[in-house]
Amino acid sequence: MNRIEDILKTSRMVLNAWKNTIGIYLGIAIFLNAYIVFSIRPFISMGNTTHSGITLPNIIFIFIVGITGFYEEFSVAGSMNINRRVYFIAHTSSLFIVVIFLSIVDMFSGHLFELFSGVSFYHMAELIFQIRSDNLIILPFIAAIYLFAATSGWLIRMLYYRANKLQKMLLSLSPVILLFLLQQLDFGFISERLRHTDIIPGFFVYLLNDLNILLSSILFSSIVLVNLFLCYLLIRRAPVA
Amino acid sequence: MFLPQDNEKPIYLQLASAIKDDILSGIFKEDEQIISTTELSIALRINPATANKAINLLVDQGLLYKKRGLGMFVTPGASDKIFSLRKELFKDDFVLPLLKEARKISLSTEQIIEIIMKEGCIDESD
Amino acid sequence: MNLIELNDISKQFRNTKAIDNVSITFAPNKIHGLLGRNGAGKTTLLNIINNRIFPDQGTVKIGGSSVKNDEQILRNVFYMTEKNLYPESYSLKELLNLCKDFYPTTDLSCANNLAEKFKLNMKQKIGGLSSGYLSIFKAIMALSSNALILILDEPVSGLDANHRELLYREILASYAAKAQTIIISTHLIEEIATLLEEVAIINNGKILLQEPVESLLQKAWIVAGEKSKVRRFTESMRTLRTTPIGQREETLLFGQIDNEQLQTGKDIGLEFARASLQKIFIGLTDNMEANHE
Repeated sequence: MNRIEDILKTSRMVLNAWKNTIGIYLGIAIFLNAYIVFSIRPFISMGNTTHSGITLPNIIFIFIVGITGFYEEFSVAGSMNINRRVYFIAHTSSLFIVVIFLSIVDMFSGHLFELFSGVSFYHMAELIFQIRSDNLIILPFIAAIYLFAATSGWLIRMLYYRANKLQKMLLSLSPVILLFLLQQLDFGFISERLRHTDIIPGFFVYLLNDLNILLSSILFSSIVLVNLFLCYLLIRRAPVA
Repeated sequence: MFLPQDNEKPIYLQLASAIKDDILSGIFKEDEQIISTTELSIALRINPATANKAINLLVDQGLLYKKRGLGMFVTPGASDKIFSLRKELFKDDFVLPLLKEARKISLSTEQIIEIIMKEGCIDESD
Repeated sequence: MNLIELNDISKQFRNTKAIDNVSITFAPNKIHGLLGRNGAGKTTLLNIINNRIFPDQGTVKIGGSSVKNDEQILRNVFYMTEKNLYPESYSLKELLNLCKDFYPTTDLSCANNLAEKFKLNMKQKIGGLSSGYLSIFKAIMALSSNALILILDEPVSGLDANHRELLYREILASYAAKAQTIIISTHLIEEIATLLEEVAIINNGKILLQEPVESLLQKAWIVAGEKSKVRRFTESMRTLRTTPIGQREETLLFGQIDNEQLQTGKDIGLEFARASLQKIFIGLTDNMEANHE
């Protein structure tokens, strides 16, 4: 079917365009991580030396891929008269592929370094939710967080792409406004009990004095779906040049 | 061949005339293939449809024929045909304009004949 | 059936109506010219045909399929835009391979052939090309794609005279070799006139006319002679442009003149000549038409 061929070809084009950035980033991130891990080896005997891998850098990186990985790729696809719907599916699929790849690298490199250095590996998720990594939910959870970061970056880029001058200005101001609103929480204007420091744990679903990884994954996945839906709406009438 | 002049008749007619000239002068010989319309259109920088129109006109006039899969060929006797046609048109294309111009500058018919005789003799003795 | 149909297309940008209720069709397997002055709406119209921007109203159909709904129909169209959409870091070779990917009918050896003819070094990146060579590269991609429909927006933009001539001939060669519909938009009319089979003139967002070049050329005359004689002759006719030269006057006429009228005119001493496509275009789009009482 021609549509599927187009989606595959476009995905290949997008992944090709991203591969250099991803390669360079992973090279540096893993190298630095290895450097850090092996440099704290001497301190193992002193007890309680751990490392948590490259999860946080990955989140930041994939967020940036979301922001920067759209414009050129969309322009090239558009120049060859690729349909917007087709491009959307290809771009989303490519993000999925990269996210799954990064999740595996995340877990794998963590355990690998633990094996070779003796430094204990506690993934960020294990620390937050107080669980062990043999709990199977961890990989999907990581993927959900990465997708959340990636699609949020993409959404921000899409908003900028479709925005006129005024809208762009408002967009740039929105983080400031958001922070301002969060500060208001501290003054108790919105809720007596809620403070801005409750937001992040809330995201990870602090439920009944206990953080729940499954619900957290579901929450992030839902936001991913919302982000993708909004991106789709924005791409439908996106002009090419 | 020639370059299309935009102040005269339509390009396809100019092209047809040019091909006829070439048949007359022997560049395109009888039962021999002439230049293809593709080559014509590229060389003269004209739309292939225009070149085709010229060729089709000559086919209608019985001067060219098509050999399937090969191209256009000159009909036997085309040269003679063009020759006699040109003779017929000689009066309209050359003599009448000559007379008109002569009237403008007040040349009498005798004077015209005198000039023709003189130039004609010089010409024929070549 | 690759008929390109536009119906009631309009597009407004802020305060200007860029395209004003345009309905036009482009017949398949012909070389069409879309002629217009700077800012007349050529690029906007072509962008709409290729679904790059959206009309405020109206539909575009290719081969009966709506360009808005059918995901695949535009894959038969290669659109060479004036604006560059290719990232600077991409290499020419990379882009050609992408072209082969997305347009399976692409002939890479043809592309390399053309690159040689134009002396284009394929080892460069997009960012390293001059504007002229960028046009050349885009044109090479378009011609090698072998798409059923080629839409070329100002294909000779930035090209020197030698390259322009070469490109015109290559367009003809490509067209002669296969069944292809080509739409060329340009404001360089004199050069392109002989390549076109049909021409559409757009002015201020409206289509002034669309017809075969040949029949259009039959409709225009330049009449020259003594002022009063010319004026009397052209009394009830549509004149586009009048140039006085002392006691003489030269007028561009738009309309048929039969042989009788021609003879009558010549008899009273008027001179007649055919007008070139460019002269006709200038006359029609100059907005200088005089009204005859």
